[in-house]
Amino acid sequence: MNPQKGWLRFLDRENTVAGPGYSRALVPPAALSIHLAIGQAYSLSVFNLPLSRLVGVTKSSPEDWPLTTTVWIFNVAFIVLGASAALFGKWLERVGPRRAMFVSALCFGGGFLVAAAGIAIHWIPLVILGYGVFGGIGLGLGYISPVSTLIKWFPDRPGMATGLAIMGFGGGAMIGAPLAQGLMEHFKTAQSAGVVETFVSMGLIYFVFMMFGVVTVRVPAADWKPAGFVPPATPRALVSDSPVTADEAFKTPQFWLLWAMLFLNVTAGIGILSQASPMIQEMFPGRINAGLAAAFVGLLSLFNLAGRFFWASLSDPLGRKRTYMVYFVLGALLYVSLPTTGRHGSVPLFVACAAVILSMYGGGFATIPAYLRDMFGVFQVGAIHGRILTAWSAAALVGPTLVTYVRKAQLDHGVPSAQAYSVSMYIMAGLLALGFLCDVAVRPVDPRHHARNPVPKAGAASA
Amino acid sequence: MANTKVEGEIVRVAHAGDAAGAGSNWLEIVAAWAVVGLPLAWGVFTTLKKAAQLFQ
Repeated sequence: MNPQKGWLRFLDRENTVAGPGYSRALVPPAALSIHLAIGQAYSLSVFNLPLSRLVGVTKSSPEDWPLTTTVWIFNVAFIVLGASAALFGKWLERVGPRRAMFVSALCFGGGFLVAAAGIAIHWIPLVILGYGVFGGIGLGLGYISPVSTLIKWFPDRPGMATGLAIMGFGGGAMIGAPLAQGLMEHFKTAQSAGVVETFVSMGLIYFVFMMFGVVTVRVPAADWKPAGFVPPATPRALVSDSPVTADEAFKTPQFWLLWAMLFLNVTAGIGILSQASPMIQEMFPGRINAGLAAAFVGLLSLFNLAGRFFWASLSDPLGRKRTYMVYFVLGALLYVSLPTTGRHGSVPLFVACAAVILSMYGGGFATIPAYLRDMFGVFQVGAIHGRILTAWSAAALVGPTLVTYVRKAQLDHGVPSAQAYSVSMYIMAGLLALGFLCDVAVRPVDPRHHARNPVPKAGAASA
Repeated sequence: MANTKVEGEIVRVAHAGDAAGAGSNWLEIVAAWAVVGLPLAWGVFTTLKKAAQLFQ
C-alpha cells in the first residue's frame, strides 16, 4: 500500500464513523476548535496599524501601505469565505467533516505563512493571496464543515448544538486580538514591529489547534439515535425530515426567503458593528473617548458571542420561525430607540440596546443551520448552509457601505454629527421589518422538491 | 456492531454512546472541553476587563 495514501485514509469518511464508547459530548469541542481559530478573522484589524508602518516602523513612511490598501486583505478573505462555503458544500457532504476540516486547517494556517512571506518582502498581492484567498478558503470550509455533523449528533437539540459551534466564530476575535498583540509585543525590535514573526507563529498555532478538531471529530452511524430520543409523532408545522438536495433547495422559494432573512439581519447588525467605535464617540461627544469606544466594541463582541448560543438554544423549544420573528420585531424596535437614547444622552441605555441588537445578529447566524435543517432535512444541510452564506458576503458589503454613505449624506445636509446616524438606524429598522415579512411568508417545502432516493453515505447519510 | 455498505465496500460501523455513558472516558471529555474552553475563557475575561471601563 502506498504509505501516503494509507495516512490520508485517516481523513476518509468511513474512518470517521464513531466507534463504541465515543461520546457525542466530544463533537462540540471538535467543532469549536475550528470556529475559535477561524473567528480570528474578525480581529484582523489589530494588524491595520502595524501593517501600515512596516517600513517606517514608528510611523508610516511614503513607501508604506495605506489603510485603504490593507483593508483589502479583510475584504478578500470575507468574499472568498462566502464563495468557498457555497462552492465546496457538496464536496464536504461527499468527503465528510474530517477531510474538510483538515483542508481548512491547511488553508487557514498556510495562508498565514504565505501572507508572512508577502509581508517580509513587502508585496501586498502575496499578502492578499495568502490571508485573503487561501485563508478565505480555510474560513469558508471551516465555517460549514462541522455544522451538519453537529445536527446529526444532536437531533434533539440542533439549534443548541450549532449555536455552540458558531458561538466559537464570535469568540475567535476575543482570542485572536490579544494573542496577536501579545506576539507582536514579544517579537518587536527597534527595526521591526514583529508582524512577520507573529503571522508565522499564528499560522502554526492555529494549524495545531484546528488539528485537534480534525482528530476528534466523528460522524454518527447511519442508524444512530441519542438514547431515549423519540422523534415527535407529529412534528412542528415547519419541520420536515424529507430530504431536499442542495441543487433542488436552490429552486425553492424557502431557500431565497431564508437567504433574504439572513441578508437583512446581517446587514442591520454589521452596519452598527462596523461603525460602533466612531458612532458612540460622535453620538456622545466629550463623554466617550477612544478607549471607552474600544470597550464598547469589546462588549458588543461579547454579546455577539453569547447571542449565538442563547438564541440558537432558545430556538429549539420556541421554533425557528418564532425566534426569527423576535429578532426582527425586537431588533426593529431597538433600532428605532437608538437615536432617542442618543438624544437623551443615556450611554447605558444606548449600550444596552446595541448589545441586544448584536446578540440577535449573532443569533441569526447560529439559528440559520437549524432552520435549514427544519426546511430541507439533514441530507445536504451542510451544502445548503454553504450556499446561504453568500448572503453574509453580500451583507458585509452592503451594511457598512449603507451606514457610511447615509452618514456622509446627512453631514453634507448640515445635520450635526451626533444625529448623523439616526436615518441609518431607521433604515436598519425598515430592513428588519422586511425580514419579518419574509419570515411570515415561509411555508413548508413543496413535496415535489423532496429527493426520491437520496444515496446513503458512511455514517449518517452525509457529513 | 452493524455492517454498512459504503460505495462498494463493507465498513464496520460501531454504535457510539449518547452522553458520557456507554464506556466513554470522562477524562477525555473534560480534556477536550478544556482545550477549547480555556482559550475562550481567557478571551472573554480579557474582553470583560476592557469593557468594565465603560461602567466606571
